[in-house]
This record gives sequence, structure tokens and C-alpha cells, in this order.
Amino acid sequence: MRNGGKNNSPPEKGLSRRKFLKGMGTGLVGTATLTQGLLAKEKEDKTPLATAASREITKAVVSLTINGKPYTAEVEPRETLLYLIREKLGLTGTKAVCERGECGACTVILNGKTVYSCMMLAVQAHGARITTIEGLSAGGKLHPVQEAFIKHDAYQCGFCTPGFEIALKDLLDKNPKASLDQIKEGLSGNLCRCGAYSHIFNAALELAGGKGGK
Amino acid sequence: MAKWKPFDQMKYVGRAIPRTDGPAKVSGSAKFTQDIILPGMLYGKILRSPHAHAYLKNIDTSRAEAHSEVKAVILLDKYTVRYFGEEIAAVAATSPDAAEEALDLIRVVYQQLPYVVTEEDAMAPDAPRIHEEGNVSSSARGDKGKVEELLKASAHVAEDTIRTQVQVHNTFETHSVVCHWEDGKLKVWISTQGVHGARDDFAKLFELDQDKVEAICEYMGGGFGSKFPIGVEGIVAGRLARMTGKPVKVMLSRKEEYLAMGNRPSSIQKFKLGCDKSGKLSAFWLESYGTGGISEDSGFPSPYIYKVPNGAIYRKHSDVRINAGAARPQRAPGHPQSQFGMEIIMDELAEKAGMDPLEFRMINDPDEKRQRQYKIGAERIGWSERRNKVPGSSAGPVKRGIGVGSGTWGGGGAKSTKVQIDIYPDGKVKVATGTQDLGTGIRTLVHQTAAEALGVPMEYITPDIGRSTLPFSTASGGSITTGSVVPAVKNTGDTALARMLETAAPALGVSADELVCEDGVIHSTRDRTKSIKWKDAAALLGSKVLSVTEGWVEGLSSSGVAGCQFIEVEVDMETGRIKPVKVVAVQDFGLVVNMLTARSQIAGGITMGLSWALAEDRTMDPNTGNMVNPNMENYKLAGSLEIPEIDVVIDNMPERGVIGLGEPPRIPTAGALANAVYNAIGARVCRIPMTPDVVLEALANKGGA
Repeated sequence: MRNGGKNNSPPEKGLSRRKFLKGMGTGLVGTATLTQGLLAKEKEDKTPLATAASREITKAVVSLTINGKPYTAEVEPRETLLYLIREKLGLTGTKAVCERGECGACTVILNGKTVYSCMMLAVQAHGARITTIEGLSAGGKLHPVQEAFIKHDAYQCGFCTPGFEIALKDLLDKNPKASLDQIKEGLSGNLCRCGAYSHIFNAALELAGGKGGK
Repeated sequence: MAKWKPFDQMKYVGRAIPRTDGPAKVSGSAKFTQDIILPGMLYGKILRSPHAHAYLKNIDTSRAEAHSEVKAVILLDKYTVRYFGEEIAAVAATSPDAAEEALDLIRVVYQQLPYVVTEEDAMAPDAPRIHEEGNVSSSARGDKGKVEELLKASAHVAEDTIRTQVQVHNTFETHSVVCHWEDGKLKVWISTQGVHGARDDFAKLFELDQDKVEAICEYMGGGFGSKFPIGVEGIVAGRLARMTGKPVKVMLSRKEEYLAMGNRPSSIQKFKLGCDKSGKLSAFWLESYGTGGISEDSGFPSPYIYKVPNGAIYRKHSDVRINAGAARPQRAPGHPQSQFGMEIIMDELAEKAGMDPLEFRMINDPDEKRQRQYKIGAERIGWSERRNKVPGSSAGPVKRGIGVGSGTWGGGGAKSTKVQIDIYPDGKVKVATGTQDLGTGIRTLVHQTAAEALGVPMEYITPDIGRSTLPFSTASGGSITTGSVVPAVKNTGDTALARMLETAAPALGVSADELVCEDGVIHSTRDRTKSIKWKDAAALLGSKVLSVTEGWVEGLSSSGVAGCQFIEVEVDMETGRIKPVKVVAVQDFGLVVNMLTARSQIAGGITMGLSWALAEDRTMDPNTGNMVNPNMENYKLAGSLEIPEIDVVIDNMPERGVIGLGEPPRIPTAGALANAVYNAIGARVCRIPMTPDVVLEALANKGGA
């Protein structure tokens, strides 16, 4: 499977994430409420004005540790972990690109495993320990993965970069002597439009003790 | 006249220098437009048409307005929508989810109209008319009858029909804008390829003096030609922010990018190409069409880089409108389509003439630079030893082959580019110009060039770019950014240095014209002991900042580049899967400014070319008029598993001055790949993307083999 071994399973077949989450938003988890949510949407142009205006969502309080620092936030049940990290907590190094588990730009390390933060609800991350790109250079010193990216020009626009770095850090933590094929496989859950792949491989190979090319 | 030092005497220009903004990019601290979060900020979302073509009979926004988290709703004045995804209305709400909910509450009554979403359907005689002037507009040049006579008289003729598909830009940062009104002034963060153009567009839209608008783009997640206009997203962000008195962020979704943010048009190219007995091209006949969606602009140059005698060219092209999102310029507009068609038909003709395809190209390609490059590339890929003399003749079910393709591009520079250099009394230097870094590395090039001109270490210098309040710099398109900005920095740096040397001269008791600055030390060329450190010389400025503003000058840049690529592939005859094994790219772009970022550009161009050739395809559904794959799962992009070994050969020609490199390496890949596939399997694949089914079909059509 081409996701670089990431931990997310896709939402139920036939439902987009957003519809799925919207269903969640109308009540708490459960097939019945989910179905009702979707049915309500089908009929929505008959929604009385008063219903639209008085809509209320029960909020949840989420506590989690990001980059060693505790955070507590009030979230709507439908909000993704990505949205919480970026827009609510302001850790904008983690990027939103496809928002449906296809590109890897939002990759973070959660309880020791890489996950697509766009594919997880914030409430699911309650109590989790998370590392984002900002946590790689804690204390102001760049992580070796970051140093290698700079040295090998392993980016262009830089938008996919945090996701690739997190994925590579996790890959090398688990397989410090990864081969080129293992690196390609391990990074196959991340996409780059500028085409920095070959330079990313060079950075990775150098860290893995390979030659790293030019 | 301004000029560069000899290449081997330069310390910063021409070297492999890591990016100035590398630490910001790798640590996540680089602030892109999408990363801007302001107090009280609202989120804007755009309602888009679910139909390919419809009248808007009635729109009721009252339910959306009644939503407790919605702060404003606006309608775009439209009566008709002409593609799936066309903008209709917009809302601002306290969260993106609430804004999207509000879109669902807007009730639109559509009257659906007939539509066409394929080129062939749009060209049919009974096709519904989707544009006042008709669906098709054609232009032709050359004498068709005469060229057909020349074809009859040619020793060999190749004929084929070659197709390229629509490619979507897919910038990783979607089109994004944050608008913030304050005291009648508008501050805009926008992911744009031109901050000055954005400033002017917003000023015009809101009837403001241009100095009342500041457009900012310090970092952007790719443009590839799709980010010139401020767009509907810019217009609604500005309007919603003004209505609500709050900052508004509009950040398009990936799906919106696929539907409405531009694309590279398709092309269908019907060729007849003739040559004489010696292999020289004798007649060129091409009838083509393509679609730029609801816009025109599907044209492309041909016969591209090859020389055809005057009067022997017949060329007709038809722009076909369909009900789909409009084209926008995309990295080397037109060229990859041209290249793909020409390189295949050239290969076919070479075979008919019984000639080696490389030799055949060298006979017909008049460019001296490429003549040299063909030899370099052929050597590195092993053209004479490793290429199959008989296509499809390698052993086993996985067959190997080698192909070649070429490209050209203009580049050049904008004379209007300005740069301001400020030297502070503490010796620190600020270099400012309003250019924007799409990811090409121009911030770093500004930095290196200033260090080169001033003769001081890069640590003394801070480049400042990406804001419309800085000196004018042109929009980044056509690979002209480097050719515009780098000469302007060099020229301004030369003047600033001259002023510094005048400042230092009295202290050293010498004339300024015998002084130079090297590694941060100003010294006399006659007596090296007469020297002063840059910082000590700067202190002589007292409390004044030495400020110099100059512009682009001739003599430091040029235009017109050449390149070629050789590709080796493996093709699995049983599954139809193509695996690129190695790409050798030989590319000229004049004086190389940064060896590291230049290699990135070339590898990136190749990767995008491979992705176009093997995977990408905007698929329209004729039954619904919708795009069926507006996501990264089903619109395939090349990923790490598709990337071959990439061997970049920089054909450095410092004597030509700097030339932009963004577009050129994007061009040669697909044609070279197609020819490599033919060499591997002995069957022509004349359309992209060359997915396994297309390859298997080509093998089936070849039959018998």
C-alpha cells in the first residue's frame, strides 16, 4: 500500500471525510445519528430558518502534549487534528494540502507512529503525545534531518517539506541504515509537486550512511 | 558597462550555496499565506456550480445569513455558469466548517443547459453552442496544397496522430488570500507570482490609491503559472473583509484547485512529415486542436526546434471550448505539447529513412548548443552500446529502451526591475526588491549576487523580498525572474560598492578607483597594506545609511536556452507498466548563479514531465459534465517510487550572462520517454498519460510481435 506505512485507516467507503465529519457534528458517534445527519443534509433547503440559526454543537475539551508542551483546547467533534494544530494552536509548520490522506504534508508523529493529521479527529488525539515539525528543532538546534535537507537542497517551495522531514525522521529512527529502496518505500506516503524527490533521497542516503550523491 | 568577473574568480555567484531561507523552510517557521492567523479572523468559502452549464434562476441566501456563525454572504453577479466548479457566491464565517455549512444552506435554482466536456463532442456539427462565437476557432498558415505536393515529392513520409491530455497545476499551497482592512488601507497576504500586480489589481478593484494596498508573499507553495491573477478568491476575500471589518482568510480546497485554478490545455496533433534522401526535412503538415476549457489558449509552437524549409510548412490549429475550468499558463506553456508531438514524429520518420534517430536530429536541429549537448548526453546514457538497434529486441518480458528529446525556451529580463541596497553604519547590508520566491530560490540568488557585487561575506547581507512596498520587480513568469532580478542586484551592488569605496578612500589616503573589496576587506590594488575592514569603513558613514536604488542593465543576462534529455526505461510486456530507470539531462541556461538550486530546478522539471507523461489526467465525465478525479488519489502524481536516477549535466556558459531556468527542463522529458518506450517494446505509444492500459493497447495494435 502506498502510504509509507502510515497509521490511518480511511473513513467508511462511500463517504467523504467531510460528510463523515458533518455527520459526527450533528450528534455523537453512531450509525443512526450519522445516517440522520446525511438525510438532514439531503433535505436541507427545507430547513426552517430558525433551525439554521439556532444550530448548536457540543464542544469537547482535548488535552494533549505537542513537542513536549501540554495544550488544552476546546474543539468541535468534527474538527480534525490538523485543524487543531494549525489554526487553533498556531503550529503552522504542519501543512494542509489535500486534506484527505493522499499527500502526507500534514504528517505528524503521534504516540510513536506517523499519522496523517488530516485523517484524525482532534478528539481522537486526546491524551496523545505528538511531535510536529516545530518539535524537531526544539531548543533552536536543527535536527540532522533538517540539516541534511538544507545541504542537499531537498525542497523547492518548501510546502511538502515538513511532512517529508517527519516521515524521514520516523523512517530513520526505525531503520537507521535504510537502503534507497527502503527510503523510497518509506516516503511513498508523501508527495512533492516541485519534484524534490531525488534530492530528498540524497539527504536520506547521507543520513543512512549511504553516499548521498551530489 | 556592468559585467561579471570571470567565472572561476567569482566567490558567490556560480557556487553551490544552500538556501538563505533553508532554516525557515525546514523548521516550519516560514510563513506562507495559509499560515497567517490574525485575531478575529474569519474564514471565507466559495459556492461553486454543481452543473457544467446552467442558468441561475434564483438564489436564496437567507438561510446562510441566518446561520449563527456566518458574518457575511455575497453574490457574484452571475446569471450563467459554464463549468462544474464555477464561482457563484461566497460566505465568511468564524470557522471553515461553519462557512462550508453555510454554503450548503444557500439555495440555488438552476436551469440546466446542454454542455460538452470533450473536444470531440464540442466539435461535432450538432454540438450545443457554449460560446457566442461558437465552440471552435481556427487559424491556419502555409499553403496546404503546395505542402501536400512537397510531401508527395519527399523520399520518406511519416504520418501519425499524437495526443496530450489536460494537466492541472497542483500547486501544493492552494490559491490563498488573507485580506485585512485597517484605516482605509488594505493589507493582503496572497500566494501570488506577482506582488506588484496583486497590489495594482486590489487597488483597481476597490478604487484605492496604489499606496493604500500592500501585497505580501514572503513564501509561497508553488505557482507553476497558475498564480498571476488575484482571482475570485482575492475579490471575495477583499469584499468579505470590508463588509465584516474583520480579516478574512480564503484558502481554496484541493478540489477547487482541480476544478477552477487553471490547467495546461490538451492537444491532438495530426502530422505528416517528410524528408529527402539525405534525411533533411522537406515538408511539414500539421492539423491540431486542443482545449483550454472554457477559455481559448490551446495553441503551441510547431515544428518546434527543427528546421523546415521556408514555404514547406502547413499548420492549422483549432481552439476548442468545452464546459470545464479555464486554462492558465503552465510551466513552459505550449512547449511540452509541441515537443511531445514533434519528437515522436521525428523518431518515426528517422526509422522510415533508415537512420539513427539521434543522427537524424543532428541533421535537422540547427542549434549549435544542442549539437554539442546531444554528444554529451549520448555518451552518458550509452546511446550507441545500450540502445536497441532493433526496437523491442531486448530479451525477457521486461524490456529496456533508450530515447531522446529536446527543448528550447526564451527567458530574458525585465528592464523595469529595481533594487535598493542599504548599507548601515554597522556594516550590515539590506538588499530589497519586491520579487517573490515561488520555490526557485530567488531569495538566495539575490543574497549571493549582492555578496558577489559588494565583496562582503553573505552573513553581512539580508535579502528582503516578497512585498509590494519594496522596489518594483516583475511578475514571475516565462522564466524571467533570474534574468530580471540578478542583473538589477549586481548593478545596484556595483554602484553601492563604488559609494563605499569613495567613503573609505580618504581614510586610506588613496583614490577610490584603486580600491576593491574582497571578503569584507577594502584594500588598494597597488598596495595591499592600505586596507580597511568593511565594517570600519561603514562606521565612517557616521549616522547615515548609504542607500542606493538602481535597476536592471544590459550586459549581465541574455535569453534563449537549449537542452536535451536522454531516458532509459523498462517496460513490463505483461503488465504494461513503464519504469523510468535513468534520465540524463543536459541543460544550458547561460551563467549558472547557484549550482545547487539549478540542479533542483532541473530534477523538478524532469519529475513534472514524467508525472505528465505517465500519470496525470484530468478526466471529465460526458454523462454528468463533472470532473471525476478532483483529488490526489485519482488524479495521479509521480511519487517517490516513480523517480529514476537523474543525472544532471549543467552546460555552463558564463559568457552569456544569466538566464532563467524554471521552464526549460520541464520540456524534453515526455517525448524522450515516448521514444524510449518505443525502443523498448517496438510499439508506438502516441498518447499520454502512458498508463499500463495504453501501453497494452499499443502492444495489441502492433499485433503479431
